[in-house]
Amino acid sequence: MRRLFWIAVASLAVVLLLAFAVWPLCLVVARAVGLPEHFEPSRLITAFAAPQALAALLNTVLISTGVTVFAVLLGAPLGFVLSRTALPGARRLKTYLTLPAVVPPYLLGIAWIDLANPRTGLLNAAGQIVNIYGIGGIIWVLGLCFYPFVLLPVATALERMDASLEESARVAGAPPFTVFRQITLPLSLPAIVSGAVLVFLATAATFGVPYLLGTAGAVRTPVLTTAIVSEITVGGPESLGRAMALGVGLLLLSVVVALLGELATRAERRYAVVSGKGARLRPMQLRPGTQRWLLLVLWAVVIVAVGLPLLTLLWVSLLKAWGAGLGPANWSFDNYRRVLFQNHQTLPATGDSMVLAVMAASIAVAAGATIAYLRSRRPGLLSSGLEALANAPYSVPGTLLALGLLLAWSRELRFIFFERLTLALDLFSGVGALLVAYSTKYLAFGVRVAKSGLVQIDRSLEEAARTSGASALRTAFDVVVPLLLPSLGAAWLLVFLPVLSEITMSVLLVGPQTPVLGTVLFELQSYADPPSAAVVAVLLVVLTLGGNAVLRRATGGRGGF
Amino acid sequence: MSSIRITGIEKSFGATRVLAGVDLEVAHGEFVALLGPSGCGKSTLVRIVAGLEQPDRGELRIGDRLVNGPGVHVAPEQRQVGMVFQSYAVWPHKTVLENVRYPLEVRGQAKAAATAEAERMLELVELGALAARHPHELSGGQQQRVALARALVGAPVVLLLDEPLSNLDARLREEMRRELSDLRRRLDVTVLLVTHDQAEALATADRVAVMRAGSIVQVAPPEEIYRAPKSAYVAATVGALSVLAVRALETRDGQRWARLTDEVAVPVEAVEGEGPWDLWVRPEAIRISPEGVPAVVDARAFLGDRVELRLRIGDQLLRAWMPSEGAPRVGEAVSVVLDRARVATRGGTE
Repeated sequence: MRRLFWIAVASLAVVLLLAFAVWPLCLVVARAVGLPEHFEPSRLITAFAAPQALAALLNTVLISTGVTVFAVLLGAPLGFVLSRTALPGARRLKTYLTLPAVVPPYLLGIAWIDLANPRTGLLNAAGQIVNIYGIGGIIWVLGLCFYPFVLLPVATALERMDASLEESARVAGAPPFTVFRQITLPLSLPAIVSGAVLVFLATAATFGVPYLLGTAGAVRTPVLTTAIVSEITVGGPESLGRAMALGVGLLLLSVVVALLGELATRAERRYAVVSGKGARLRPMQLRPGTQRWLLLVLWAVVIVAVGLPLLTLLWVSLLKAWGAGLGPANWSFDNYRRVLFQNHQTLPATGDSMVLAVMAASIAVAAGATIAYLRSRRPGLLSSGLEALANAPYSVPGTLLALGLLLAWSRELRFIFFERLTLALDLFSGVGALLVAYSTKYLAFGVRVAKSGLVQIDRSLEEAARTSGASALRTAFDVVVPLLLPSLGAAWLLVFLPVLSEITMSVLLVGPQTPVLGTVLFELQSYADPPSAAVVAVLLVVLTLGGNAVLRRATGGRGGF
Repeated sequence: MSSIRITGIEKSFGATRVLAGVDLEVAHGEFVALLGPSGCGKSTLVRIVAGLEQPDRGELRIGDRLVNGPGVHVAPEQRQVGMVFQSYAVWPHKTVLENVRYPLEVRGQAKAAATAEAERMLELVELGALAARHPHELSGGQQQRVALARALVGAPVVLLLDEPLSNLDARLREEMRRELSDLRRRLDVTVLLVTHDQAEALATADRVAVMRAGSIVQVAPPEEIYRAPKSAYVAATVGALSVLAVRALETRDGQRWARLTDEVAVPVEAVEGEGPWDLWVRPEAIRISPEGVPAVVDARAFLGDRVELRLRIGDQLLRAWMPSEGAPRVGEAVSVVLDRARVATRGGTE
């Protein structure tokens, strides 16, 4: 009876995930190769023979590679310095240096437009020096956003590495730099590679920054995500066909890169370099001169990656009139008043985004915790399959997921596919579509955080409740949920924050009548009202940084960044 | 000539004083064990010998070379020492052979010669067949032997062993202990071993140095340190010990007696220092005999090869080990003799 209950819960979750994640993705892939009428994989190749599609693919590869190289060159040394040297204020520096991972990249993109657009950029006040539009600008902004994805795993790996691995090399006769080259570097390679793969995938899947910096300006730089969105905006069966081909291209690129990363570290993955009983290496003491120099570099990175763009947003948001001087004389809170109390778009959008984020976070956490519970306490084929299904949507580029949801469930775009299977549901008008997309995409956060929380709850705590006479369900609510609550709170914020500022999926799924915060911001930025855009950006930055601070405090620094 | 000469070494980590002036000399070819509980500074001391830590004060010589002293700190890679770490520290990205060959390679030896020498060393630790494996394919004991081979391959002046056996299970530990003694006899190398296991120290070392709170409190050959510890601390560190409060010392018929209760006094073998005194008895030195003193069995634990009893003499308790056959039951009144009982100033003279 009780067993049946759990099976029913798990089956329901499987059905929902099949409907809202697997089926839409299959649909995109199937349509892209011509199914169900004919099976023509060559369609994909033909699609990419078109110059625009080919350009989008090449730009995506080029930009992702560039950002990955930039992020590794910046993030890996930073991770090493932060974890291995006795720098004063290293903890605080690490917090600042990882902030770019918290702020949505497109907000920093907006800041860099204000700073370095060729006509009115603040850095170009004395004549055109830099131009943020184009491939170089996109790589610059995204590299500065994504380097923490390399910094953090490298720092963690180095902190966990058994110190005696390096000490034994010293004793064996190797001077410090040789130890670094032959022991430390090879052992941290898996961390560097996994960070690099993460950066590549995030860059390939990102929409906001390439849209802001690649579709305006003199030179257009289409990438796969922006090309998909513009095809969908054009509409019509031809465009949709092209969008699906581009989507499959993006999917294949992601899969290939993820597999390459896996392959590259396969040998290293067999052993885990975590400290058993070995002590941590005491941080390197630096000469005062070296230390000063190093601190200067680290603070310079903080200023360029975090301080400068965020202050720019704040500054621009205060400007009374763009181009009427940058001093305090031209400052006021008028923009804030206008955006917060008078604008007919920002107000409802903020409300909608808030409601959506609250609902999506609650759904993702509740469902995620249930799935994690089933996985750890009722192991079996059903629950492990369920976990894999729940994690999958997050690793698929958002653009692709949104495209699939549109194809599968929207009345306007639904394709008849094996006609009998096509349901006449129309969930997909605005808010409903967004809610499904957000909850599905961020379900993985709920599962992962709840799972790591569950690992820390000893089985005997539950067994004690069972032997005291509580049923499994009762035990789950009386013992597991209360102990898990801090983890669930953290997971909730982890979903809430990115949903609040989500743009990649929103831009495809949002209805014209129901804009959300992200799309409103893009509209403001595109229609040449930088101060208003900056106001919304500042509010989002404050919300995300505040939420992250709460997260850090609540989890003792383990959660958040 | 001594291989290691440590003079007045001091070391603090922040406000914590870890070594408070340590002196120790280890002769060429000698095997010295540093024994003490965790936190007594023994690991820090070998790490200083290895060059991995820098002492705040004091001098250190390896062979006839000053490696630590005023203005002198020789880097670990230039000390010609070999070291085995508690966690083995076998590099996971190198094969067994590459691990063992590394010290030779990094010192610039030609690859062919280095390989031959590493293979010879692997034969010595009986791992010749596993040279091409990676460490994660090896058992803990095998990894330990790789670490040992790697530490010995460069023909070091001194071999440092930092709790090398503590991650092994009991059976493997005994095997490795034997192997260590054998190897050392064959290789003529000076060894400094850090351990918290008294049996390991007593069984392997030529001399045992007992450490407490950053100082060496006694250095002596195993039997001597066991039979004549200078303090209750040393006595309890190298073996099990019961300490009973002595009310008074008496002399009758030329024999010294320690009075434990109003009714009971026991004859003692030696008396050291000033009062107040304690009586030290080892559990194996207690036997049942009619000419003894009265005691009551308070508790009894069967340990297989023997029985551990908790005996009560008046209001004082002591541990006793006896053959399990014919051992008394709980509550039984017995008469016991305390052999080799020593009376020493309370706490001992360190």
